[in-house]
Amino acid sequence: GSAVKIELSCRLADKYSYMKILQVTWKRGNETIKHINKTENSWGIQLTISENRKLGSYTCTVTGEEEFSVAFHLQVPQIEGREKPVISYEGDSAILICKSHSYTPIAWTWYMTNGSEQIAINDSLMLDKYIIDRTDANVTHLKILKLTKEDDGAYWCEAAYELGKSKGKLKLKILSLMVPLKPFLAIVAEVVILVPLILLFEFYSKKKRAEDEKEFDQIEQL
Amino acid sequence: MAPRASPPDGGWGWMIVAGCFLVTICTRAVTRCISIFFVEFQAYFGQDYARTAWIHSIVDCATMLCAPLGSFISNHVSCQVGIMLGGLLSSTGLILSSFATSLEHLYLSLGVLTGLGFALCYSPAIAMVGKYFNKRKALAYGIAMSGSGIGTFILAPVVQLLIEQFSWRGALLILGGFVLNLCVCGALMRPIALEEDRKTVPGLLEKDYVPEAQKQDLKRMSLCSPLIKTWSHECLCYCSWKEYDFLLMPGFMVLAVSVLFMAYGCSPLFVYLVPYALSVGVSHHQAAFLMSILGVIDIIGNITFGWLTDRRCLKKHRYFCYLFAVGMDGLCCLFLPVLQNFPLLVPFSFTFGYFDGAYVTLIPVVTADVVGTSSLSSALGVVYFLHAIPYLVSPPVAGWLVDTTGSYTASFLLCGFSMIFSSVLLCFARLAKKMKRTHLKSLSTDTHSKQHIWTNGAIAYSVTGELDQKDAEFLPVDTNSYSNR
Repeated sequence: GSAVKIELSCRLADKYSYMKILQVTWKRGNETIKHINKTENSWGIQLTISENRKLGSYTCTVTGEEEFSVAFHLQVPQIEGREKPVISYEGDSAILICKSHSYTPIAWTWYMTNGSEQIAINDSLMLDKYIIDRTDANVTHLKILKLTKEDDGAYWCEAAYELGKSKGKLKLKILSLMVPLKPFLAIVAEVVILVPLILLFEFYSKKKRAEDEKEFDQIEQL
Repeated sequence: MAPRASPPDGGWGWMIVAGCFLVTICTRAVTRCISIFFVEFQAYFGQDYARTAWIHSIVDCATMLCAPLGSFISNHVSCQVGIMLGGLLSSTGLILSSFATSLEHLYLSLGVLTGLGFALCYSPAIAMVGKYFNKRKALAYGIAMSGSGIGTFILAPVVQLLIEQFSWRGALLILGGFVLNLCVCGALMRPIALEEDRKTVPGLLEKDYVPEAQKQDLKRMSLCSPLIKTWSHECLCYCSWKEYDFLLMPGFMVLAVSVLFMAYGCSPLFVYLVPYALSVGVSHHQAAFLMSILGVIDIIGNITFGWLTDRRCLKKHRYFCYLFAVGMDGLCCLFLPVLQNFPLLVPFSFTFGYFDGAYVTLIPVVTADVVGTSSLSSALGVVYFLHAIPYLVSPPVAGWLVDTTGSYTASFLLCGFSMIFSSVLLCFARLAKKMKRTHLKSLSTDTHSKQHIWTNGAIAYSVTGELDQKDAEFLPVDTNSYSNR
């Protein structure tokens, strides 16, 4: 991908211009950056960022009678996938969705995991299996058709920004049709047993009441 | 089996209440939980929220519009068969939906078929409770109707769990199995024959008073009772006319118009409370909490108001309790635009939820008081039918008002006034009836000398004066039954 040039500079406020400056350091973590461009009252560094390298927190520390420090955070936005797996059935289709809030990525790429490696999904090659919806730049949809057990596993959606790339993880779980059928059949069995039981109970209590009335009538007649 | 003298008020009646409770869970609570599927449908079918939300409207509308059909089937065949048929239909609808390939498919199977199935179950089950209870009617109804609140409370997380475990297809399949329990409820609805099932002043006349009228009524009953064999054209016309002649009763007409306005007023509130709360700065969690309070207090309102209006002191004034509950709900709506933060919206949820549960419990009770127990099933069918059009029309109208005026004030004021109008209408109708009765009383005491000439008329009038009943409208219709005394 193309690299981006960024210049960071820090400047002391006017009310501290009396202060004698001993040292100015630019650091990324523990690593000190050597080449500092000094202008009249500011100190800057130049960075070339690409492929997520050199992303992180850059601190500028000005040491004089007091020490002042400021930090720049260079990062790509986090893509949220889904912690809970997306469930689908064999022969059905599934849709995996990734969203980027606030920032619009340049491009989206989908990866599927095969063993331990990640393979990019090329939807133009396999038109009847994968469809990637790119109508909205902030959202990407991956539609997987004709699911089989092999499609089960982890999928990654990668958003490319100017500074680098960011990934989100989604899990796809494929179930067979038998799985929901078992609780369903259990409930149906419960209904099929209860309904005749209740109707039989009603029939017998009606019969009993009719017999009681007949006895009562016979006793009256006597 | 000889007909019973009075409703049992217990015994198998509690099984009927349990059955009706389960019917309310399987119909009302499941309808509310269908909205949980919308996010899944939106993602899967790639449609926007408005098109997916149609499913809920279609189910609600179908359940209410076909309510008279449900009463018709249970009156003419049997309550048990009606509810079991409804259970099978709605279960089939849900199972077919789990194989849906498009949103239109869902409109038909989940919307129309399931809604129709629910309609066949809902009003017959409620009418059955009325037949088994008299002294504790309101409490029985309170327990039965609390099923919708308790059901939503329990089913909502369960449905969410089912969707996470089995995806929406598996969840719909299992929900279809759950709804099949409506057949169990149907089996529980043992028919009961009451002596009061006659179109005369219920239970207050002596046995030897009008033997001719009794014979007429028993003949009518045997013609209209389960009769798949003797399905004559004449009988159908006669039966349906006699079944639906409560429609011309002024008391029922007033109740019907007031139900229209009340349903118009209360339905947008459930739809727009959360968006309104979010617009005044309440957080998502707090808004969801408001809805939960509404649901839970609804249940409490159901049961406590039912118990309260069964007390001897309040029983005579049930009608006024009902219109008081509707009026209070309307008043709460009028105050809503003024409540602009969370601490003020919580008491609103409490009050609105309580009185919402209260009047829902009293609708079948008040309907039974107006039309009597024999036509209760058909009357309830008509009352719930009248809920359908306002439920369908009111939320979009309120939404349009919000869009054009830019705030929720206009729509909430409209809802509040609609409900208050409904309550005031009922109040005026009852006052007018009271004035008419005192006028008649004064007339009958004046015309002592004319008693011989006016044999029929005086009896009609003196009966009106002695009996403190709500069935004054019956007598002008049936004066020819009181021939001999």
